[in-house]
Amino acid sequence: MENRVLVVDDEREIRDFLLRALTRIAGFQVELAENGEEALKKIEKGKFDLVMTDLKMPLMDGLQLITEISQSNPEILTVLMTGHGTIDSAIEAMKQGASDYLTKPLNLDEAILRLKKVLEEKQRFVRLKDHADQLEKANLELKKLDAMKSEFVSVASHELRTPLSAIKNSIQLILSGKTGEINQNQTKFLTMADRNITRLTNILNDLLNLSRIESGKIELKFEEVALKSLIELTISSLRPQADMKSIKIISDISEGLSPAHGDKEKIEQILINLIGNAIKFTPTAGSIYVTASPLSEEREGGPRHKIAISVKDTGVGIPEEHLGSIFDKFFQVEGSLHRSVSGTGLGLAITKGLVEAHQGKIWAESEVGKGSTFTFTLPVSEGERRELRFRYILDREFLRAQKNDTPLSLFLIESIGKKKEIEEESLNELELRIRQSLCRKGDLLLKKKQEKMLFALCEADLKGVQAIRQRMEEDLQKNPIKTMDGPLSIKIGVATFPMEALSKRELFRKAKAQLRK
Amino acid sequence: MGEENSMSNKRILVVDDEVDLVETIRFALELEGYDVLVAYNGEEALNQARKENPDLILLDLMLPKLDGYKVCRLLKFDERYKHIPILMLTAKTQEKDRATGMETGANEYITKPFEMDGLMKKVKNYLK
Repeated sequence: MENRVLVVDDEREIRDFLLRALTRIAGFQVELAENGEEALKKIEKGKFDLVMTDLKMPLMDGLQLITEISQSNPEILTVLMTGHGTIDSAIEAMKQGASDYLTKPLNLDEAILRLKKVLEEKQRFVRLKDHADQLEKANLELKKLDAMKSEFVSVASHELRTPLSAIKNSIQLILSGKTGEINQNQTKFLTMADRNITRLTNILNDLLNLSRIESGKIELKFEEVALKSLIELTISSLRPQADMKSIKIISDISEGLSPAHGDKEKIEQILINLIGNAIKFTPTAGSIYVTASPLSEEREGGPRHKIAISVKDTGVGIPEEHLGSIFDKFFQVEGSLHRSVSGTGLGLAITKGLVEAHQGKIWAESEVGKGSTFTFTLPVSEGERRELRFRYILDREFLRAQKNDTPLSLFLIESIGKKKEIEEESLNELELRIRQSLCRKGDLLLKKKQEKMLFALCEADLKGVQAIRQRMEEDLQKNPIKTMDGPLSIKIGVATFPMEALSKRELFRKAKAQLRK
Repeated sequence: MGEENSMSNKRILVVDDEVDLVETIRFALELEGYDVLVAYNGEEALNQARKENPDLILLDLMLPKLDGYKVCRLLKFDERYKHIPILMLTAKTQEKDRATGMETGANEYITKPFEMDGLMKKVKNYLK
């Protein structure tokens, strides 16, 4: 593409020289103007990529021209030509929007090189900007399409429900015999129609669920979920299905498993999908094992505590090449779809979406002919997370204290009085106060839900501990924490390590013993 | 059995803008021995309910003129009609739709398509 350059100079020789040089050597398309006025007129008429202007001209100087151009035509590049000793003007010109400056007398090679460079840079910028604009436009378009798609799926599935309802009702009326007697074959085929309406409804439900998950519109009601009972309940609801194929479902979950942080209904749906799949793909007299265990991942900023739930079957298995796609929409392993096994092909995609909405992960391991194991993770409940974190830090600090021989102290703070349950609010205030009193390295507190007890761990020797304790007691005496039953009275038990206690257990025992005094 | 026939028949108002659907429900209800009133939009439903004072209402949600939520609210917040059980029949399946439905005072929230037998049992339960 030919670059169009406008040369503005009041000296005729320079204009002519530049016209020839820039046309022949640089291959620019050059036009001339002998003053600022003329230049502006030409710019108004034609398109220029670059204007190179002299500084000192009558009526309007180069600086004024550059200022004018960068205001009225910011897309046009400007380059100032200045004499020696006018570097200040050059800087001013750059401030006003000039791309570069050249000093007179001009070195032709240098001038062309710099003009080309400025032009190239501009072209690169324009190309990038075009590209960015296009991408932005495409992205906007895609977002719009995606929203339309979600909306369509949602509307379609609602709109389909009403006619489906009329069909289902009609078939059921005939099947019930209420409209007159029907023969065996009629019963058979109407039953088939009824079953397929149910199937169609399931597909609609799945589609709607998936579109909700994909558009991020899924609403989770987070609560503390006791997994053992939820898993056992889900298994018992699916047992009739398993019994039909004489499949055993065995669950092995320890009583002490931490509760999960999640939406109970959604977790149940995940379990139903996975165990349901296991039943579908396991031949008669097979077995399904459901297990759940804690899983700690080392991460920056402390460990992440999760719970891993696995559903293992002795089914047909999944060929390795398909393991990566089984969570895709509408993917069904070829040949796996027996007449007895029918699904929407959306179950695992929904399951994955639900797990991910819980910040969890899901994966599958399998061996063809032997069976598959699906595992997903869920976050541990808030309260549990704090306790696990406390235990983790306690372990770490204990080890460190053991190694370095630094004194480590454990406070156990317990409320006393008739009332077992202190309100959350007073507990929070207590926690805050104790945090303030500790004010030494390593403080950490935790609410233990059942006992409503606070732990604090800090680096302090026996003397320091007594001081902290005194500070806490004084503070609480001066500004008691009010509860519904009057001011909150607390007891503090302390033990230090390594001077007093020998082990972690010892540490707790000593601190607890002080509480009982 | 036959309790309904011993006195005057219980009367049920069926509201849906889908004529076919209304027909299937009407047929089934009449077989069970109920008298059936029908309405095809919200306004009609409200007028019928106020005039006829039915024993139970099966109410669709997305209705022309006045939607089911409003009909339900207008009846449930009226001392004269709040005793009438209202079973909502709807194609809306989202959790928050159900919540809205229940907030308006509906007694049940049934998603389409439903099982006819199940619906008949529920109706019978409310009319005991």
